[in-house]
Amino acid sequence: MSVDLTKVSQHSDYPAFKNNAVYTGSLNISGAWERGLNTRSWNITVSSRPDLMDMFFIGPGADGRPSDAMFRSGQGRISVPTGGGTSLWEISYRMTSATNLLIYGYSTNQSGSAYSTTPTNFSYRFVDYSAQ
Amino acid sequence: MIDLTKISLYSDTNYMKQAFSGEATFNLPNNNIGTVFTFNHNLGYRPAYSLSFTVNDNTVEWSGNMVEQNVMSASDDRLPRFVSWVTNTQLVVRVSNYGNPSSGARRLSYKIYYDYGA
Repeated sequence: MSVDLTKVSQHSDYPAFKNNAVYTGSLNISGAWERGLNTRSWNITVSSRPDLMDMFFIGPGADGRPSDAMFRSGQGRISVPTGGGTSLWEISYRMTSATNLLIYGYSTNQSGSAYSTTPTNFSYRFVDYSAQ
Repeated sequence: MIDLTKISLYSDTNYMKQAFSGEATFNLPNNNIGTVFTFNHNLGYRPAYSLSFTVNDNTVEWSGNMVEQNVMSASDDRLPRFVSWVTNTQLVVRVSNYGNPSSGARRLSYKIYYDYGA
């Protein structure tokens, strides 16, 4: 009986999803955040254009998550403490940043001019699963 | 000549080898601040994981939260949502439903992988 090699999973003519590259590093959120939508963005260079990428983050806790836990993109937020306001509310309010491909945050509906954030570090781990 | 980099089991790369999987079925209550589910893995590092949840009814699983209206007419517009994280020993999932009238049977499923511990 002949074997159809094109159906063997290790057949080399078909690209397969695999862990091609891992990108890790740390980023920092700082500066003033005004009322409304605030965005922080960073450029992270990858060696090739990925068609499938997974992203994990480790940063100051939010929603009960401890600061040393890792969460997937879109399934957690980073707590960004604020300070520098003139009222107790402004000083004590803790903003949170949601993490996806871009890191973004929001300051909800309270009045106020600007909030100075306590510099906040977080780490990322991106995995390129592209078919190659 | 065979291009070794295209072989599925090419030994220079890492793979998503599954360590654990499971699911939890539960009743999502209305106006629930946060129900926490904890799954032990005890791998000693923070492993990669995937997670899905039947957010708005019990028919469609979402690997992330459903898109939510940015401008809400009332708090009841908020959809159930979840956050999750892994530590060296556990996967934790926190499901919340702030006043959304949607409630009832729900299911969440997870997989934990040996790879990519951070």
